[in-house]
Amino acid sequence: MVLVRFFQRLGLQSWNQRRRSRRSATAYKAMKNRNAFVVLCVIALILAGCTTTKVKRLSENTKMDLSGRWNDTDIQLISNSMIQDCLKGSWIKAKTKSGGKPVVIIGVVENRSSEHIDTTIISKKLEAALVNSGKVLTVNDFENRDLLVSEREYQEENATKKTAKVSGKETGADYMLLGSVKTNLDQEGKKSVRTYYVSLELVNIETGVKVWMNEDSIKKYIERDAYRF
Amino acid sequence: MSIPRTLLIALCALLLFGCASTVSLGSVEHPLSQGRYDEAVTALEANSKQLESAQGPIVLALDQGMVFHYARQFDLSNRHLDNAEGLITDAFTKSITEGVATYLVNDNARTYPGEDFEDIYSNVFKSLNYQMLGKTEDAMVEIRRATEKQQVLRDKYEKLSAKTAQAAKNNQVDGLSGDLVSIEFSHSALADYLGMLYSRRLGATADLSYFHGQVTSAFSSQPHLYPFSVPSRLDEELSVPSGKARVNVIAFSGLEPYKQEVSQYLPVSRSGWMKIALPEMEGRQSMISRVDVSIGDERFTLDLLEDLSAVAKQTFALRLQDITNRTLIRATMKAVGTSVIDVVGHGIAQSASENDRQGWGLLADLATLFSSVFSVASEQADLRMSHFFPAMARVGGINVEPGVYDVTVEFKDASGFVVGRVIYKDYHVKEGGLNLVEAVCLR
Repeated sequence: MVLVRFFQRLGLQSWNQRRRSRRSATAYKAMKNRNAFVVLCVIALILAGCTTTKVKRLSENTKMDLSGRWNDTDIQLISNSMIQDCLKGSWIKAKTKSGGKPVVIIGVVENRSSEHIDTTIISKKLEAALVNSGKVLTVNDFENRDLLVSEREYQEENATKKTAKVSGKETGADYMLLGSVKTNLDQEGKKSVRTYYVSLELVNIETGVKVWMNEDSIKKYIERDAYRF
Repeated sequence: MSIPRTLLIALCALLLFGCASTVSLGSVEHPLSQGRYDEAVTALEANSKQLESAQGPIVLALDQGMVFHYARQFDLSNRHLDNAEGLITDAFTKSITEGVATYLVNDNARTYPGEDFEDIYSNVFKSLNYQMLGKTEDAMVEIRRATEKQQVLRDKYEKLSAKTAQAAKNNQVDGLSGDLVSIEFSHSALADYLGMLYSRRLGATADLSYFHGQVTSAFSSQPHLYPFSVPSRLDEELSVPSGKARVNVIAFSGLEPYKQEVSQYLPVSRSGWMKIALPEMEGRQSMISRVDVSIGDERFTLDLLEDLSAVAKQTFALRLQDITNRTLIRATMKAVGTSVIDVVGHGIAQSASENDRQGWGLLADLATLFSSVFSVASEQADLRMSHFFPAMARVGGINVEPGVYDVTVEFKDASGFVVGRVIYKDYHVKEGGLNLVEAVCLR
C-alpha cells in the first residue's frame, strides 16, 4: 500500500485507475511522458549508485584485514618490535674501526614466503629508525650503488674541480643487515592459520659475527565463509 | 499475471539458466597448434565475451593466461592467471541459491569453481612467467604457493580416502579404499623440479636439496601418475661445475584433456524417461613422442617429467563421485516429479465432471509432457574447464661453457619426423644464472 501511495504521489496510476479515468487523450499522453521521465530518472539514479567508488582516508594505525594476507598492519607490528629491539642492542655502543658511530648497510631481506611481499618496506623502516635515532649511520645500499658511481664519473668529467666529487672516499660499512620472511600455512576446509616468520640480523662485515638478531612472528587465523546467498 | 503464466516463465528461465556450456574455440586452437601464438591471442580476445558467458570468468582467465604465456606476453599472462586464482579462491564460498539450482536444473547453474589441477598449474605457469621476466624470487613464491595448495589437497584426499575406506569397511565393500588411494595426487614433479632450479639460482642449498628429494618422491609415491623413469640427469642439477654454465630446457606438448557428456536414458514410468548426464574427461591425441635439443655441438633428448593430462584426469576422478551422486539425486527427483504430475493430473481429471474430464485430461497430459521434456532437456553435464594447458612436460639440462649459442628444440612424432621446431638464436648462456629455455608445441 505504501508503494501504491508513493507512485500515486508521483503521478503514476495503476492500469485499472487509468482505464477508469476519463481524461482526454492529450492529458493522458502528457501523463505517460511524465511517467516515462520519472522511471528513467529512477533507473539513472540506480545506475549512478552502482558505479560510485567510495574512498575513505584511514589513519596509519588503523588495523584492517581484508584477505588475510600480509598487509600494512603486519608491517607496522613487525617493524615496531624489530626497531625497538635493534636500538636496545649492545652493538650500538661497540667500538668500530673508524672509532665513530657504527655504520650499517642494508643488505637483502629475502622473501621466502608464499606471498609476493615487498621486504624492502621492512628494511627501509628499520633503516629510517636507525638513522633517526642519531646513534647509527647508514650508507647507500646495493640498489643505488651504480647510480652514485656513475654520478661521480659524470662529475669528474663535467663538473668543476672544486665541486666534483672523487671516487674512493665512501664510508665503509661495519655491519650488514640481512634477513628473511617465511610463511607457514595450516589449512583445513574454510579454516586456516597462516604464520609469518620475520628474522633480521646484523652481521659484522669484517668478522662475520652476528652482533644482533631477532625473530618475530605473526599468526593469523582466517575463516572463510563456506556459504553465501 | 496469472500463476500458470508465472510458472511457465520461471521454468523457461530455469531451462535457459542451465543451458549447455560448450563453446567452439577452433579459431584459437588452430593457430596454437601451428605455433602462431599472437594470432591465437587475437582470436581468443575476439571470442572472450562468448567464452565468458558460456563457461564463466574462471575459464576465460585461465585460457587467457595460458595463451598469453605461449605468446610470451608474460606480464599479461600473470595478470590473467592472478585473476583466475583469485576467482577460484572466491568460488570456495558456495552460493546457497546456486546449490539449490544444481539440484533442480543441472550443475551448470553454479559458478564454475575450477579444477584442482587448474589451480595448481596456474601457479606453475605464473612461476615460469616470473622467471622469464627475470624475477626468480617471485617465481619461487609461486612454487611455494603451489606446494601449499598440494599440501591442502593431500590432506583433503587423505581424509576422503579414510572416510571412504571406513564406509567401505562398515558396508563390507572390498576394494573401494584401494581405488581411492590410487587417485591420490599429492605433489607435482613439475612444480618441484622448477622449485629445484629456482633454489639453485637463488643459492638456497637447503631448498635445492629439498625440492630434488620431492621430485624423486613424486615418482616413487605416485607410480600411477608417473609410470616412467625419473629424469636421467636430475642429479646433475644439484651443482654446476666451476667455470661451466647449465642450460635447462623445458618443453610442453599436446593439449590438456576435454570433458564430454555421457548420457543414459532410463524409462521410469509410462510418463517418460530419466536422463542421467555425466561429464567424462577424455585425453587428446598428441603427435609428439620425443623432443630433441641441440646447443652448439651438443645434442640431447628431453625426459618426460609430468603427464599433466593424467594429473587432470586423476584429480577430476575424485570430484566425479560427488558429481555422480548429485546427478542421480537430481535426475531421480525430476523423474519422481514428472510421475507425481502425471498421477495427480490424471487423478483430478478422473474425479472431474463428465463435461470437464476431457479438458482436465488434456491439461494433465500437457503438464506431464512439459515436465518430462524439462527433466530431459535440463539434464546436462557440466563440461566447463580450461582449454589450453599442455598435456606433457619434458625436461633436460646440460653443462656448457658460458657464451652465446643457438638453441634448437625439435618436437618429433613416433616415426622421428620433426613436427615442430623452436629456435632461439644467439641465446646468452651465463655462468651462475638460470638459463631456462622453454619451448612449446601443442600439436
